[in-house]
Amino acid sequence: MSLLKRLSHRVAYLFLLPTLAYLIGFQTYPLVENIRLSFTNLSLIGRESVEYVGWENYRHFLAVDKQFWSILWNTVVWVFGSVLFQFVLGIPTALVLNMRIRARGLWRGLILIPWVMPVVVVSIVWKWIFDGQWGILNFFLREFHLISRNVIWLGNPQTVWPSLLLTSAWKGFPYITLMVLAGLQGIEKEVYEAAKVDGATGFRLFWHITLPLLQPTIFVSGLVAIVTTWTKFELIWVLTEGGPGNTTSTLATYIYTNSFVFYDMGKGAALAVMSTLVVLIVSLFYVKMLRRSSV
Amino acid sequence: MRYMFIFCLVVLLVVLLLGNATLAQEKVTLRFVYCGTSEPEKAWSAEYKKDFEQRYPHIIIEYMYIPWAEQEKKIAVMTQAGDYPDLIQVQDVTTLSAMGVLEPLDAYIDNPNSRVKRSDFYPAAFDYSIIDGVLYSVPAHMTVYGLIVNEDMLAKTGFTVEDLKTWDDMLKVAEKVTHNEIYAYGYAAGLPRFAWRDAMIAGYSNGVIIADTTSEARSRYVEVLKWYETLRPYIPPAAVTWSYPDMFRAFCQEQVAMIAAGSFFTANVYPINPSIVPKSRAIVYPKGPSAERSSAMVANAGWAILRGSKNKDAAWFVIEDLSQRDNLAKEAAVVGLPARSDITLDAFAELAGMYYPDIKDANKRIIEDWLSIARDFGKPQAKILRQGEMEVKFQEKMYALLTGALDAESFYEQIVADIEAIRKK
Repeated sequence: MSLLKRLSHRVAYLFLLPTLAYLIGFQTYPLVENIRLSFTNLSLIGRESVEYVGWENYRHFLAVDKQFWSILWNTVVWVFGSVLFQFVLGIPTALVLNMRIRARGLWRGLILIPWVMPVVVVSIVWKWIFDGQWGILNFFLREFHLISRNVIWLGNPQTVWPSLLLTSAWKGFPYITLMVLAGLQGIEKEVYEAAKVDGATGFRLFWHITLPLLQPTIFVSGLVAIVTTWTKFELIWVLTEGGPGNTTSTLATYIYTNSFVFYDMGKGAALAVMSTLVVLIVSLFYVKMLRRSSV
Repeated sequence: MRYMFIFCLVVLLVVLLLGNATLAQEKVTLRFVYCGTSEPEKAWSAEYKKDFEQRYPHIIIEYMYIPWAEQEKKIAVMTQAGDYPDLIQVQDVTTLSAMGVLEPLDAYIDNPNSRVKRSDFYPAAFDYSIIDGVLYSVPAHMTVYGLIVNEDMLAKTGFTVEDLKTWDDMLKVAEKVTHNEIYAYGYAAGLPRFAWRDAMIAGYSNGVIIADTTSEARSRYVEVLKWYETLRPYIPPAAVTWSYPDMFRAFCQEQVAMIAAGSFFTANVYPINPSIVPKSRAIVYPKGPSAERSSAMVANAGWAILRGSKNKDAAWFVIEDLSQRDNLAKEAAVVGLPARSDITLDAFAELAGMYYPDIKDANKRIIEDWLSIARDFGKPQAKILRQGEMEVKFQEKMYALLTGALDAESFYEQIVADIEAIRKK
């Protein structure tokens, strides 16, 4: 290798250094430290020394804590329910915005509003909509004589999940719309023309041409949506704080409660490790499915 | 040579003098965690800072506004990272002292030169700042808890405030008041902190602290839980999602006739509906079946020094200044009652009138109510380690109780097991 080439490699490494330092300092170190903490009994309250407790924190959640499994199930409902609803809203919206409609640019811009709004603001707005005493949803339902007494949307185990999933879908669907729209624009017109020549129209075109060609887009945006929803903490926290009872607690809120309400940092860290592992497994499974479908 | 020596001496003297003067004038910046985030509280804090810095230009106060709900968590994170503010406004010092982040203040207050003395304060309020005999904060304002009643709503059903002596009396009122989505009792059961506090207030009226899991306390404890079971039809169904602002809003809109709350009542309802204050009276929570007489929790909010502060003397200097009668009265007038016992009702009500000008007389009456509750029924609020964790467990069960999914006896068995497991930590 010539001197010039070797020098240019060194310069390249030099340019990589800030990113590498960032990754080590803000990603790798916290991750390793979190794993270390998960094997200790670190509590910020009333404990002088920190001791190594082995797998005790993990055992506590997996074998002792009665709430853990229901919270894990809540997390699965929350993540897959949210993502499913986001697609249910996002794909039709993208199809409409891909059509030649008047002021298409304006609609495409407006549709992004929920996505660009801060999560906390969205949560507060929806909290007011769903409020059991003064909420606007109850107001309209009563105005139209659809209900005679207020429904406690966020205080009833039967209605709290649909309310949360609707909020999450409203917040997240513009991202799916945006991705699917980009995917739609990448489909060649000739493919549709050829299908039309073969007699395909309407829903058959969508089912046999559009959807299969959108598959890579749907898989990638689905993966991103799963990971972001898995860690989406603020929305549930502002709307219900994991309640009523523990009905809407997810792993994200449970990590927060253990770490910053109970101040049991060791247990909080163990939960965080388990949460990371679960999302990692789900993502790997998802990527494997993606590869298999691409083959 | 001699002239040279004298010249050097003079120069040295000048340098030393200037140096001393510079040192004397060296500015200290104190980071002050202040938790009052309402507009009147922020206005008071800004006014105090301006006044203080004019009097003592070498000390600069730099506020960090952190709401009460976030205070413990933020301090936990900051101190773990070795980032210690100097001063902090505190209520319950139990958790922060257990974290080891608060500076004991006994040596400061007992110093003969101290401008603050233990005897300046109401004993019940002062006691709340002491954990295991160690003083961790100096009280500023006192918080008294009781029952707040809408006199007009009571009058419509033929009752007066004086009729409310026992839980049975409350029940009679509740039966009459509750109709057409108007309810008797507002309860912020949606958040653990407030679900617990309400039950604490009711517990004090029945001679039991709801963290007490001893067998002697069992019957009183169960009575408290049965009391909520009895009250269930008279509590708005939406209350299971309420926080304090929702409860106060419902009270302001006369959707509920009674709420259990504290002497911060006026500060909370004034921005929503000031005209509710003239209709409101504060009384001790009526007596439960097993208590000889009711009692009321008394707590305080005050000032503390962070253990890792590098400016502890300056921080104590500010605490001393904040605790001077006039300064303390002004701060307390915004949110509650003065923790100092040498402030007269008239003088205090006059000050409070500056913040609540259109309800001056009504506010004076309610201040009088709170002070008489503190005087006649006041007991220091119990200091409970890991209360935050107990609150979460308690609220889960209270939700089940209020929705009919759990009865009082099962609630008791479960909460006792939870509290004991928490204590074992």
